[in-house]
Amino acid sequence: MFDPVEKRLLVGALATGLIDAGLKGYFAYMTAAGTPPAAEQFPYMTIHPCLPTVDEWLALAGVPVALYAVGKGMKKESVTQMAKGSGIFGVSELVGITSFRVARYAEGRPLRYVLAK
Amino acid sequence: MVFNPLKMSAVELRILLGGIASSLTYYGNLKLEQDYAAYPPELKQKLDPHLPTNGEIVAGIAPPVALYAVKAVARGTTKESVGDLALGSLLYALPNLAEKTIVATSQEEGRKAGAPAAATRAALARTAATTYSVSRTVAQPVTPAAYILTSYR
Repeated sequence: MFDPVEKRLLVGALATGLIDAGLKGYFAYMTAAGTPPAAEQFPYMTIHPCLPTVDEWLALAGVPVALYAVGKGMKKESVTQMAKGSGIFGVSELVGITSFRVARYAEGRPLRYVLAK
Repeated sequence: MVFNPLKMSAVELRILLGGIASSLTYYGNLKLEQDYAAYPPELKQKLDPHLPTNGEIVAGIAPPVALYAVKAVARGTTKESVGDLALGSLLYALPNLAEKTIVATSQEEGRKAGAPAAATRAALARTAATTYSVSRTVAQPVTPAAYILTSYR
């Protein structure tokens, strides 16, 4: 169904998604348990109400950049292709989160963290 | 590989566009789910508490399914272009669904973990209110010995 390049793209995207899920999952767990992380607790700080939080930048931009650096450093095309898949997911998710935050901010109801109920 | 959108190939740009379109579809649905009064209640429900809402699942799966369906019937260069968009959409949709499922599971487990503590806090609050009201209604006894001593002088 997928050729080897597409598989590597998907592996990179899944890796980024799982790392982001870990960070978001911890926030969701603690919030649902009644002890949400403090407003300025690393890495859940807000840069600006319209922008994704620091943990989202770390996962969605940091992981692709790290994979790309490793791929270029080790001169492995497979890792670079994973970085591409990771970057496609990361950029798409950052665009989606930013648009959601901008919409809420424009309505005068900024969010601390974007989580479905 | 380049990260600069101005230097990306046409194929890479289409894949990225497919991912962005899928993301905007997902978050557009989330916005409607949270703020639109006429949003179908069936889509707000969950098949299981550990899963995302039905609306999130549909909004996540629909773009790549639709694009692959279009690719199946398209011909020529359109087939390749739509195929690139579909791949980008899939590269967003699958990790996104996995991520949202993990988050929903974490929320549910957090709710369960916090429920005993919340019940204990509520019970303690009720006990404190009861104790407080009892101590207020109980009159302090007056010792008759004080009056006897005064009258003796």
